Amino acid sequence: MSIHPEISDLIQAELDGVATDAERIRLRDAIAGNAEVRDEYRRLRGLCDVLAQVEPEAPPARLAPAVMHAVRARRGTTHGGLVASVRAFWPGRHLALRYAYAVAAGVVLGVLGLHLAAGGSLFGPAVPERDASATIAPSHSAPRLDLAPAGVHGFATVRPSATGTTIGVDLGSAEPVELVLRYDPAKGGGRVDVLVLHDGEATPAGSLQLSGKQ
Amino acid sequence: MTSEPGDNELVRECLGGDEHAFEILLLRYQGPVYNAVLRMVRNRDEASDLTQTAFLKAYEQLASFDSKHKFFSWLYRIAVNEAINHVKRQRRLEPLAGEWASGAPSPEDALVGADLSLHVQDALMSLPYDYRAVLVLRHFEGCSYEEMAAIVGVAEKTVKSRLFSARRQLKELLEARGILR
Repeated sequence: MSIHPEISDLIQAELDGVATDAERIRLRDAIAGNAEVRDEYRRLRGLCDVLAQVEPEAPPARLAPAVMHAVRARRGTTHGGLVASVRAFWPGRHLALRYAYAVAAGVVLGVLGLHLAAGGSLFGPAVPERDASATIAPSHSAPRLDLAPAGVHGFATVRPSATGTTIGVDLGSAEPVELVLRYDPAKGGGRVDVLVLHDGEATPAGSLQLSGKQ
Repeated sequence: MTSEPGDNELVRECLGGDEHAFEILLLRYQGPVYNAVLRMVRNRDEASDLTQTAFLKAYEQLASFDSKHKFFSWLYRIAVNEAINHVKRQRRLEPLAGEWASGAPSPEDALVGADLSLHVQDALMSLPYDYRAVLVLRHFEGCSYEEMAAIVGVAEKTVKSRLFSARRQLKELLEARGILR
C-alpha cells in the first residue's frame, strides 16, 4: 500500500516547517493510525536530521580578493572617466548611428578642463554652437590629426566651442572603432594623445596640440 | 549603535559607484553561495571558480536587478545556473553515466572532510541536478518554497514535487550506504 499523496504533502509541509496547526493534527492522526506513514515520516525526518549535520565550509580566503580584483578591473574599463567614456561611446552604439556619426564627424566631449587649462584665446573666437550636431563639421583651421598611422581611415580634430573645447572624430569607416583620448596639460602646453584600440591593444595615432602648433 | 545596510541599499550604492558596497555584499554572501555551489559540483576549486563567476556576473548585471525581489534570490539564481550549466558540461564529458554513484571514493572525496559530509555529498552527486538544486537550497541554504521557485525559475508546485522526489531518492541512497536506517 502506498501513502496517499495528501499525507505525503503533509509530511513535506511538516518537514519544511510550513504546516498549519490543522495540518499537524491531521498528520499526527495519520501517523498514529498507519504504520507505513509513521515509517515514512521517521525516515524522512532522519534524512533532514542528517542533512542538518553537514557543516558548511568556509570559502577559500582568496575568493573575495579575487572577485574584488576582477571588479576593479572591470570598473577601470567601464566607469573610468574620460578615457573609458570615450571607449564606451563607440562600441555600444547601433552601427547605423555610429556610421552617421562617423561620416558626419562624431564625438563631442566638451572638456571643460581643457578650456580652463588652455584658455579660449589659444583658439581664436569661439564657434557658435546650438547643439552637438553643430560642432561635428570639421574645421579646416583646427589642428587635425590623421589616424592612418594607427590603421584607421579618418581624422581627429580639436577646436574651441561655447562650452570649452571640442574634440571631433571624423571616421571614414563603418567598422566599430575604439578610441582613447589622453589629455595631459603639462605636455606641450596642453596635449591630447589619441590612441586606437585593436583587440585591447592601444596603438598611438599621434597627438593634438591645443596651442595649434602641431 | 549602527545597523547593517540592507541588500537593496548596498545595491543602490554600488550602482552609484561605491565599490565598497559591492564588497559588503560579497562578504555577506560568499559563504552561502560558495557552499551551495560546492554541494552542486563537489569540487572545491570548481566551486570557487563558479562562485567568482557568479559574483562577477551579478556585478555586471546589477543594473538589471529588480529591487522588488530579494537580492540573495537573484544572486543564488545566477550561482545555481552557473553550477547547473557546469554540471551539464561535465556530464557531456563523462564516459559513463552514473559514474559518480560509484561506491569507491575518489581522491577528491578524501578532501571533502567528515564521513557524513562525504557520503551525503556522494549521494547528492548521483541525483539529477534539478533535484540536487532544490535539496541544496532547502537543506543547506534554508530557502523557502517561494525563494526556491524564484531561484530555480519554476513554479512552487514544481519545487515541492522535485523536493519530494529528491528526498525520497536521497533517503534511499543514504539507506543503502547505512547512513540512514
